[in-house]
Amino acid sequence: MLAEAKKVVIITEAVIEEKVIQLLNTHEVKGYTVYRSLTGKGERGLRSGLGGLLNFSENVCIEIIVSDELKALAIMEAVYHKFLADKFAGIAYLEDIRVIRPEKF
Amino acid sequence: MTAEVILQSFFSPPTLFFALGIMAAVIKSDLRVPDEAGATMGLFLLTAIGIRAGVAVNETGIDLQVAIGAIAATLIGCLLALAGYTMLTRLFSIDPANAGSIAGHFGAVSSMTLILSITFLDQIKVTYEPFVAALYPFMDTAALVTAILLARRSLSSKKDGNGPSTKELLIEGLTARTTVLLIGGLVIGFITGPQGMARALPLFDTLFFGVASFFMLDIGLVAGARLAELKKVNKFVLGYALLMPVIHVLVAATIATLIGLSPGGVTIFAIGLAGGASFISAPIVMRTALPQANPSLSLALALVVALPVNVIVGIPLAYHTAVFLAGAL
Repeated sequence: MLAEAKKVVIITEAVIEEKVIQLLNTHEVKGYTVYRSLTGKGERGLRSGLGGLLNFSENVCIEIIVSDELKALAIMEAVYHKFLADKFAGIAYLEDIRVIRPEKF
Repeated sequence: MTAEVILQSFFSPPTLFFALGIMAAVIKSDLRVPDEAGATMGLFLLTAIGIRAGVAVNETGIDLQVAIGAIAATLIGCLLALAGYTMLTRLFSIDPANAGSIAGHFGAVSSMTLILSITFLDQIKVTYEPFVAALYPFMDTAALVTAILLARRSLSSKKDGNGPSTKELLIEGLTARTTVLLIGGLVIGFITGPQGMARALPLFDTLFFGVASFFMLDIGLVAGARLAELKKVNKFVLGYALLMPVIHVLVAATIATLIGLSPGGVTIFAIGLAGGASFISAPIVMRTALPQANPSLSLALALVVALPVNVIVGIPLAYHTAVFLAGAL
């Protein structure tokens, strides 16, 4: 009943959420999930919101599930080159998952 | 300017709430203003400025001065960003991205400084041309776009195709929530007038000062959490942050007096629009437009240096300059 699939997880700055999603759309992903108002610490120090004044130092997590590993890698590479390589804080990783209704991905 | 006026503005509720916020952050208190509450207060204050201005414009009517004001605000926005950028790159050898970001923050409008300049005039019962606050988007957008374009011109050799285009920047500025609420409130206030607003106006009028004071607690908490970042700031840049708002005030006050605004209007134009350094909208715009710049640096300068100096010294200074210029020019 379950089929193998790949989940790409991108955790990055809230300010570029829309731009990342635009990029995902150019890769014709069928869906994604966004988690907002995230806090964490990394190379660029603590990243957290500023009491409702601005979300610009917050993080978002964007998850994309695809059935094809090559497509997942292409997405990760594009996100890396456009955003994560030098300009914006963030990480991206790939997970092996199993999904129900594989045709959705 | 007398010490008494500075003391008075230091011991006013907004400044004291700001100080309380900073103190709470420094002693690591668990005091937090919930995100949504902070955001709601910000939205309320901007709407209130717009509505109060709209109702007042309904009573006084529109004249050519509004158009002249809008042009002057746009030109000053460009001028201040250009002056700031030139000073930072030429005099202090700051790199183009950070110079553009800092000049943009300082050229853009700080809604909190605008709000407090209005509460200052309300307190000392000085009248002002009601439309002046609504010139916000003109100066704000002009300054941000100019600063970004100047920085990009120097950075272009390094090739960067990801940032928003000039057209996108203009659209972003003119559709920002600040612009929509201020202009929207102004139009609502103008259409309905004092009679139509009779039942809604008490909310925006009576609560304005209290909410502005309480909102400063939230801003104080944020500023206090960023206090440590000042230690890393280059001394010349710190000097720029202390001095630049004063230069902005003097330039803008002179131009505002020349276009015929009253001392009250000149005060709002000079400190509420030109003197303040944006720390709510500019950081977001700059983070995407000039990602190479250090976002903590410009935010710390605008929030931890420029805001307190402007609130305590800048606002009374602007008012006294306006009164002086009204007599001199």
